[in-house]
Amino acid sequence: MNDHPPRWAELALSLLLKAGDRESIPGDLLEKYREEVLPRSGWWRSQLWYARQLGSLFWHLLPSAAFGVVLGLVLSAAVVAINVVLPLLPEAASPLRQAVEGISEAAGWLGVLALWGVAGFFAWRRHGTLAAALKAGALVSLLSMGMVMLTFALVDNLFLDLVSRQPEKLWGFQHSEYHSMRAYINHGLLRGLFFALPVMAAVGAALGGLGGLAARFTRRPPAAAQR
Amino acid sequence: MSDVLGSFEQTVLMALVRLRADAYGRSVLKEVETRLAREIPAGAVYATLERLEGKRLISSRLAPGTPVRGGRARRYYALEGAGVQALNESKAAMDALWQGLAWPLGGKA
Repeated sequence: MNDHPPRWAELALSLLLKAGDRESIPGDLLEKYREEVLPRSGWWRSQLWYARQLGSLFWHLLPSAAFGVVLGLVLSAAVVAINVVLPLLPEAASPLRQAVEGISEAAGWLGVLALWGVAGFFAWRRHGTLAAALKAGALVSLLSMGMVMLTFALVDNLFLDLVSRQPEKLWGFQHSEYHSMRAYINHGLLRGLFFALPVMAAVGAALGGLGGLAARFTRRPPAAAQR
Repeated sequence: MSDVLGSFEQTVLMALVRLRADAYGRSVLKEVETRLAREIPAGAVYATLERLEGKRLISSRLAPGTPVRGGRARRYYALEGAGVQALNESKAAMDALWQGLAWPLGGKA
């Protein structure tokens, strides 16, 4: 029987760990995998165990990145629901469609911006420095918005017929110099990648900083920062 | 100091006390799992060790690995003076909270 953990998980582990931990932590996991988990649980369950450990390391050692990925997944699901699922629903479901669109317009962005601040709040409580709060806000905004843009790229290209019917896209295309809707949409996405994403990261950093300041006034810093 | 130690941080520090010179990542994880009688995600233990080292309550050093771990180095952890003091203060604080109460508590939960 193969006594190696999944190669993809070992590679992912080496990418997420700091240089000083790249030997010791995978070594500990490999030791436990070979001596305890594999003999007790068999190959399939052992593979799952290793993947779970990878997830726990990601969640505990890089909480801001994990938060950004989770937020990105939720927002991406909302993008798919609003742009693909809701337009395909029958006419009878139009009240549902209006309710979802209303909520996403009213609370969606404010909620997302608040969550970037929350990331800064908790980063300050963990590390006790404003730099950590700024970095957390920027990282969460970059990851979540990057994933949203990637989702838009997939949705817009895979469901071009459906997306082309959106009034704002039609208006924009008609007032542009592009010869095809696909080119118009993809150039818009590229502009977003190079201009909007850095702006979002800066906004995220600012909100993370505000969250960090809020944490500073609600609780004293951890011992590490007091020294 | 004791007010900055969470209960899981105390558990990990006590594992280092028990393991002494044999406290490396896997053995600490195993000791914590044994004491708490449940499976603990590895990430929780490593994040706590990192945080305790950041607070300078513990220190670590790398040592050569063994064949079963593919020759990868082990990181051994040791309690520092500040860590011992923090644990003592945590124990004293808990004892003070229980002072005057009979254990186990009687009556309805």
